[in-house]
Amino acid sequence: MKTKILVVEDDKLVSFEIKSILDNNGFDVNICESYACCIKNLDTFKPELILLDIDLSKKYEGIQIGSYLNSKSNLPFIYITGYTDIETLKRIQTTKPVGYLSKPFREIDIINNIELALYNKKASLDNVINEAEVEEESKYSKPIKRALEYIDTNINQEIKTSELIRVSGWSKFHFIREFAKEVGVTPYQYIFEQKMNLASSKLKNTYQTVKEIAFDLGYTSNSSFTNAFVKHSGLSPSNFRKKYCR
Amino acid sequence: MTNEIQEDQGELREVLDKTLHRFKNNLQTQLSLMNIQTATKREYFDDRKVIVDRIFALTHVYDLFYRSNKDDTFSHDSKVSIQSFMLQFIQYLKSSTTKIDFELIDISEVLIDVDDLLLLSYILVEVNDFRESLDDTLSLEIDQKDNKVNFKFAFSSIQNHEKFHELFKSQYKIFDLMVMQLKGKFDYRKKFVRLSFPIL
Repeated sequence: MKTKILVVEDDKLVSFEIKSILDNNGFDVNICESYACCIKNLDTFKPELILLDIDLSKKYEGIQIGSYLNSKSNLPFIYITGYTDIETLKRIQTTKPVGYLSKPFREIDIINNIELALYNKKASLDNVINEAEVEEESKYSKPIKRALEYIDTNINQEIKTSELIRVSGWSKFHFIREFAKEVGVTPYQYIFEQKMNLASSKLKNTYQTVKEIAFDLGYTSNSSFTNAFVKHSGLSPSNFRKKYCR
Repeated sequence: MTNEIQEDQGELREVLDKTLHRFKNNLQTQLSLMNIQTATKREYFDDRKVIVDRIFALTHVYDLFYRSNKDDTFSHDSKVSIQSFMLQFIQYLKSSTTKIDFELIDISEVLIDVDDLLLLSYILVEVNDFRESLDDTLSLEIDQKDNKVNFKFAFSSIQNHEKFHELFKSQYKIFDLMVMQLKGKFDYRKKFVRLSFPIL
């Protein structure tokens, strides 16, 4: 089974070159040119690693994707870019890529970075599995674990308690009581915290407008998102961005 | 006064960062073209000349870019005159052959992005290599209409250019990729091939 790699790059010459290199080295490759295509491919292509150009559509869309991947998945990604200025490096570090490939690059640079990233991913997965095996028995029961996974997967949408109850397989009252007991907060509070953490990360690390972030998190109006955010952090989204971004 | 100096330094830093970024991307493009050549088994009539011509295209574009923005302290504009560039670059190509005729129609006011101009010049290098392989005369015509640049070319030995694609089919991948990157399209007519792309 070939390792699947998604290349997100809007320069057709560069993406074709990378695809040729990866094909020759036995990887299964898909190419995307935009944020939307990349997000879609996470579900359809299910890559194990992503190579990500920073300056997609000349709007730094790559950093938005990096921020999304950092907060939403454990998928490793490597930035490819001609930017090497300190400000950009600082910005991309916040999104925690596993590598950074500076243009112009050679075949060996790409392959070495990928092999290293995949090795580290496997090593950390082994650790996680070992820890999880120990933790799983002690920390959460299986129904609560299923509910937490559901929340994590659907954080970009409105999450209804009835759905959580359904995936847990418990009755309503039993689920709410057990959730609070095991997680330490109610389901509503937990979802709220997760959404606000993601919103903070997006405000800090992307150029998405407040409206777009609100929409991404499943809020149907800008004002309800703003109210929620003020309640969480004591600042409006735009003031939060001013305070934490340069 | 101090604030102004700081602001100027900040802008200078930004322009230098952008220049470095542009420089690396342009080098990457040159490398990519060479690697795609190998990957797609593109056989040039004269490999060395193609690489030299690309380097000169890059030099001409940046000479022009520098001269156009010389009076502007910190220019953020990355557009240059297609006419000035083509006059210079085609003259350069003609220095090694007499078999290129060209006409520039109504493009004196047209400015296009440096990256697009580079791609166009690399496409012209490909076309010139086709010309050499045919040992033929190349006629070029560049005009603009409806916010699009039209780049027409024709070879005297080809009677029907509708078959141009088939003639070079196995050698076409780089050509196609560059045209896609320009967001352009080909139109194959009997007397010529027209590549049109939007002025963004």
